[in-house]
Amino acid sequence: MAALTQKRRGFTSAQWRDLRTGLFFISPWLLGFFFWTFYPLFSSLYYSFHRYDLLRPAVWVGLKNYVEIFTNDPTFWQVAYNTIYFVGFGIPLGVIGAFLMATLLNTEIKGRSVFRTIFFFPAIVPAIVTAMVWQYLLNVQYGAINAFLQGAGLPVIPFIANPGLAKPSLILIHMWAQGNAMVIFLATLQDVPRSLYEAATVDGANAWHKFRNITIPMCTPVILFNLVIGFIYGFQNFTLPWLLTGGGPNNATEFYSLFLYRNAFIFFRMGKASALAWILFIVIVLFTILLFRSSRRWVYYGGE
Amino acid sequence: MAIRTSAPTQLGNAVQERAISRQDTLAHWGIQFVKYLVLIFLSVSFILPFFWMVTSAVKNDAQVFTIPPVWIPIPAHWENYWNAWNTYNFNGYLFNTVFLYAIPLTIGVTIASAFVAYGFARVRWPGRDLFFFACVATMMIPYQVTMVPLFITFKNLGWINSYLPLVIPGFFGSPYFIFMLRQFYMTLPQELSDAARIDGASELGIFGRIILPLVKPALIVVALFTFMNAWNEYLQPLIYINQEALYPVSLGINNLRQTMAQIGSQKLAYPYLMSVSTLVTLPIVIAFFFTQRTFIEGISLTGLKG
Amino acid sequence: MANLLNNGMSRRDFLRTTSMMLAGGLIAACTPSSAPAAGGGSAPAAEGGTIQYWFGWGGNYAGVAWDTLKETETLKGILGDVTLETKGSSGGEPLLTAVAAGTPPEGASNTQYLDYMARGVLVPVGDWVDSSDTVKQEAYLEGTWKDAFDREGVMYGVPANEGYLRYGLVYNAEMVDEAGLDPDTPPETWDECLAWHEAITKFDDAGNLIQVGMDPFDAMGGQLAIQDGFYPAVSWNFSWFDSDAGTFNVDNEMMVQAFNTMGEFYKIVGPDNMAGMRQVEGNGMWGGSYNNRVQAMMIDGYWRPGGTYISQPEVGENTRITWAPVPTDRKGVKVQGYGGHYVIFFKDAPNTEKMFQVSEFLNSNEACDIIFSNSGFLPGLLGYLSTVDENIYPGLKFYFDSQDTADEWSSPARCPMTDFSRTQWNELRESVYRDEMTAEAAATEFQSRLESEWEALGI
Repeated sequence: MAALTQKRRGFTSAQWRDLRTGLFFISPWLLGFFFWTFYPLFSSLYYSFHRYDLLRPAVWVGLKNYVEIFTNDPTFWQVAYNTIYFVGFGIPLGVIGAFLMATLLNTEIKGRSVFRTIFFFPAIVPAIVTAMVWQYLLNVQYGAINAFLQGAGLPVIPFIANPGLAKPSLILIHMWAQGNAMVIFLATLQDVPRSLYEAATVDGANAWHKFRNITIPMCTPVILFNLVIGFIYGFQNFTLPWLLTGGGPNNATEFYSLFLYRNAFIFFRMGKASALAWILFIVIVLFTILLFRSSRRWVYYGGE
Repeated sequence: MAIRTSAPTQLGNAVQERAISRQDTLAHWGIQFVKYLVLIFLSVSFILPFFWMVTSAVKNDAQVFTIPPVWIPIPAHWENYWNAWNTYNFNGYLFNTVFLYAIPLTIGVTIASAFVAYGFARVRWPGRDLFFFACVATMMIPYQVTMVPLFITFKNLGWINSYLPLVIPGFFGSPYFIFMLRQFYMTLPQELSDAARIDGASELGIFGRIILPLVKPALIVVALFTFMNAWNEYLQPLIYINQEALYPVSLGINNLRQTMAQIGSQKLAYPYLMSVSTLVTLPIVIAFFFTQRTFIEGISLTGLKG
Repeated sequence: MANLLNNGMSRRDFLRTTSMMLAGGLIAACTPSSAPAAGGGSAPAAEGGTIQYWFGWGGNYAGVAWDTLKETETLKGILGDVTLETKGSSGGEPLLTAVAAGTPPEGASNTQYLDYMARGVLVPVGDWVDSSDTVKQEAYLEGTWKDAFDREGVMYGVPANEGYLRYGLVYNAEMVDEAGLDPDTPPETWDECLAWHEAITKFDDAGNLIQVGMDPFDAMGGQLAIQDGFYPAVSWNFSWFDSDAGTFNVDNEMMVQAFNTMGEFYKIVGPDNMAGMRQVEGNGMWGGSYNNRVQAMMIDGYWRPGGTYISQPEVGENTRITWAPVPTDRKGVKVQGYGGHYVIFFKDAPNTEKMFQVSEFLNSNEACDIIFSNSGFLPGLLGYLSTVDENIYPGLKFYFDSQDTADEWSSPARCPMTDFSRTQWNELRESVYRDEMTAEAAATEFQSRLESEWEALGI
């Protein structure tokens, strides 16, 4: 800690050397940051103030794209609602589902590695395959799930054919493909010191108390991690809805990145797409800051 | 490192459960019963879509378009697998995915991320935390924000219709994996480095000869995740790869799918799609099954605890 | 901590690392450049260069038809040592990115033609056409020729592949008969279609939709594309886009009726049921549910008889075709439309002249025969059409007859805002049949969306 607490008034030669060494190591990322992030980020900002279709030179239009998005594009609000719905319900549900599965796998069971593989499975399936399989399983007439429901004398559910059910259906598929998060949870759970549970058992705590007061707190940092990664993914969710529903029915699954992509590459509206992208960026940053702020109240860091 | 496998914790777990079972054997078996019931229910619902995929692949059209759906087609048309794979140049797509995309990207991301993370974790230098924060923050930038200007950049570099736009950025490290690996480096005792420094080793020497060998499990996790991402990636190839000869598997499947969706459509559209899907999914499932121990350990070792 | 600071980077370390990174970069840089070799034989023939031709069609046209075309001596003679690469199913975003990247194909078909024309990336073909023996105005149907021009009257396309008549009410006589209806007295108006639709649509005991009478938005009924026109405008007879003035006219009584009338087909079956029927791979494709014998009627062009017969002969032999439906107050009016496809040429491609020669070849009887027999596509070429056996596929004769008997002819509007317009039409009609919007509001909204997007495009 000595190096950090040192007065910052001018570097010693040793500090200069450290700086050089540090910068040397991070130089690939630093270069990459300028090429693939900083530069495109700000040229995207530049294009967002232009009319630009990729084929003709960009024409300055000031704030027109932004004004159009907020005041004159009814689809935008529908899209914003869809995205917030998916991020707000789908991502937490996905994290909770993964956590519960990991908890279950972490108890005394036989064949853990087989179950683990089965639960992890969907995460490694290419999204395009996922889309085509579920398209059929969830179908109203030909769908296997509905055939089962019917066989059991239950009413048919028009999953992705119904605007009200399409988003929940996509959330269901999202929860099904939470293998990565589950594996990370499982690894964390296996690292929780046994001594904590043993001590609690001596104190007469039951299983629920142990889960509530030991397991969950010990996992909060990973919950936060998975939430953050999940939210970032959720805001940018593209492939599955694009392939499964194409944004329908009735625009119910037209998520932000689909809308953005459509504008950029199908409607020839690169300028508007850049403005959309910047709005999304700002929202994600604000959202993440908010999440980290709130995390101070509920995340437990064992090391501190 | 080797000590921190999951074996002892499982043992501890078992000890704890056994304690409970002594208290109340009946309740214990009840709980176990419910547990397996839930596990089996979950497993079935997780496997069902795959079962559907594999059996749909060997149907004919009449077996696809029936109500109620057929789960096990009789007779099974096994030749679909062979025929579907040869409808398009899937051997070529597979080659592209693995050798032009996934392997170069995996090498690049793994090496670069390991290198950069070292600078963030094991060298103390002024401004490090600020840069680290910036690095993590870039994860928040949606791909769509940079998509268009990046496209223009790559166009100016003449990289369209090659895998360069998909692979080269990987050689500059991936923030997600830099973050992950940094967490892991932090857990290694500082004494390792100190001892080496006293022996006169340079920082690069310490990185290459002492630290890297210790983080192998974590590197495997990074490599596997990267490989899988490349395998599944759809949007980027869609934008950058226009020549069919260069398609990765994901675009090949989509090509097959779109071709089926046209006037004068071919028969067996859905079975063929499911055949190819099965063939594409199978290798990864097998790979995971055999690497999962290393995989889980690697994640556990990265100490993602914050 | 202090002893940590003694060891910075030595020069040796630096050199070693740098060379390591360079090597890594080289691996990455070399691998993709060896890519064409992976493309399966495209590299060896490259001495004479390659030309690329992309089109939106897949299926038999992209497959067997082109395989056969490439084997003909005529095409081989035209190409010489140049290699022709064709790519199917590539209408939209891959093409735009390729064009924007400055690496477009030489030629393209079945894409957003006018959008490209309006943005100055295409080669005007006037000079080539003037010196061509094959591509001459008098060789084509009037409407087919007209379609190859942009709004300003500059010719950018060479009609090819597919350019015959667009509209007919296609129905499966067997399914009609099973429903107790008379296949010999087909409906003429939307109301009559609706009655048939209700009679033919079947649910099983559990309430599952197992058979649909008519999806009015399937195939040509749902299109709003350059080469396929906009059927509500044809049926109700109004002009939705004035290409000279660049103004839209969809906020009118006819459009309102179209939203309501066509939407009714969905309402009585249940929008979810219809969506479910269409979402299945196979039924979702253009005319797929007709081929699969799940749907009995739809509005489609002359290619349907061949398209269905080639892939599903047992369905194709029951195909009958009559005049596409019109509103009741126009009963008896026989509508028909031109339209069709052409080849466009991109300025940035090196070898467009060779591509022009290929498109001339596509207009030869030899090429047309191959395309027709494999995909059912017909060109708008008078000379070739006179050689076609109109009875080869059940139903095809209707289109040939309609050439002389139609009352009202339409041509697609020259609107360079293809996919946006179609997307709005899709969205708004769904809002109407799902009762989220009145048809009046939808028509007004349609108008305002088209106008504001048009202004934003700056064409």
